[in-house]
Amino acid sequence: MSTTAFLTDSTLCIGCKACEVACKEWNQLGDDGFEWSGNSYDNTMAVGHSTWRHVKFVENTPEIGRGGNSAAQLPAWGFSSDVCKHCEVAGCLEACPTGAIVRMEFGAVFIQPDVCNGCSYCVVSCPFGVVEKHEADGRAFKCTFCSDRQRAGLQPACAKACPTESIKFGELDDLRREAQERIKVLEARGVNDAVIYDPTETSVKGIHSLFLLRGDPRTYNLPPNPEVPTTYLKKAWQSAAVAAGAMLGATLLAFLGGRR
Amino acid sequence: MSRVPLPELPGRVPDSQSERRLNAIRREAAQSGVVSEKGIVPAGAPFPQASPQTGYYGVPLLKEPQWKPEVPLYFFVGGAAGASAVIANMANWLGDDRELVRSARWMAAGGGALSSALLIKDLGMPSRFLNMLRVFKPQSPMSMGAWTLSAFSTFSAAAAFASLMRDKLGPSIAIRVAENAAGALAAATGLVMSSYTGVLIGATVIPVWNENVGTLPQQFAASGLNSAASLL
Repeated sequence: MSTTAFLTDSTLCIGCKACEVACKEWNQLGDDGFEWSGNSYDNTMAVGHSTWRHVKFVENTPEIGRGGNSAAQLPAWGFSSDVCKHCEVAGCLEACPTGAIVRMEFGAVFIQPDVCNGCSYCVVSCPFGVVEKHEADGRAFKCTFCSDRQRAGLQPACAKACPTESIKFGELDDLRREAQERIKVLEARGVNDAVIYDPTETSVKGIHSLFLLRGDPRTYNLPPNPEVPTTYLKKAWQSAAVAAGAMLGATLLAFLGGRR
Repeated sequence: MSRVPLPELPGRVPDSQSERRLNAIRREAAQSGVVSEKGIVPAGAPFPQASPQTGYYGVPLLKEPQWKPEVPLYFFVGGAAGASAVIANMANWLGDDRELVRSARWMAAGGGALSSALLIKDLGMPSRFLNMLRVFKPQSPMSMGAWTLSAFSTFSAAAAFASLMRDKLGPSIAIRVAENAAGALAAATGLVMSSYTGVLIGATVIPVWNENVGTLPQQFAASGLNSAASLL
């Protein structure tokens, strides 16, 4: 089985939101409310239970070489299409108490909707803030990596609909290489702030949704050092053991003291 | 007839400077069609920006916990129930107050049942609560909690039932063995019940919780023991 991945190149994204539309149509997701955010042209703001692809609109001050409008009134846009990262060590998968969240053959992290009972523990275990419980439905939802399409030998809906090949889909190792080459091409053109977002050094151990961004990943709400919450377990259970010992000791003392 | 007081006039006195400024605004508006001075700020400005410091327009990177109020309520109920079982066991072993043992056993059993009810009510799909026992997953504090709560409810109910039988039928050997065994198991799981909740919320991505992961279980245990002691 092959290990597939996305490479979302923000230097090619034009902010058309075709990926959002394609995702919603293929996966038959409902609307996510009709509210104005007041933040740029983005009224969705984040991925959630009914938004599995989300285009971020990062406004930069106009600057030559950044694609800003010469009228010096419109901002230079930085777009980036966000999606579930399908972590190598996934916080949601580790935390799920029902076994509803599983690893699929392509490396995807998938929530089985017929098993999930809506405990929402995955919501507080995702270091990227991707998983969300649908309050009306009761279950948690997120990107399925179009596992149904991948099984049929097709690419995910978002990648297929992307008109600029900003969303690339393929083998993880190929895309890692491709991202490095793209950085070199951009540097040759004078774009020297492009970075690859691929946190392999953290406890997440790498992701299946690579990003090519300009500047600091925090601007795109991507954590520089995502950590899987299982890293805190050892300390937590040690503390619980101390607590249990202290409880035993305290009650023991109370009754032994009471005897005198 | 009462006199209606005249409205107070605004107190600013016009002077040459204020009139010059008004003329300047008029001139600029006539010449360029726009007044560029500060003070012309659209409602809501300054608009939030995406930056490394503020993140993406200040939108939280992480999702908010989606637990209903039942869960924090359960933290108290479950903690107190667990500590009650510990107290019941110690009182049974070392104390001579049968009344205290009886109350503590019932509080543990009642708390265990109430805890289960609260947690099932919190689920998005309560009818699927048994899915919690599909897998045994040590790396998931929620899975450990579900198993602990199941065991604790069973043992604490058994201990309470045995103590009831002991009061009705007299302290025969069989009943005392059953009560002591169930009580000891309830106390052992009760220790976990009172402290694991700290692990549950500590081992998450929420920074204020995982930064205090070393003390949260102890705080939860102390709170549980205090609640149980004050209730008894």
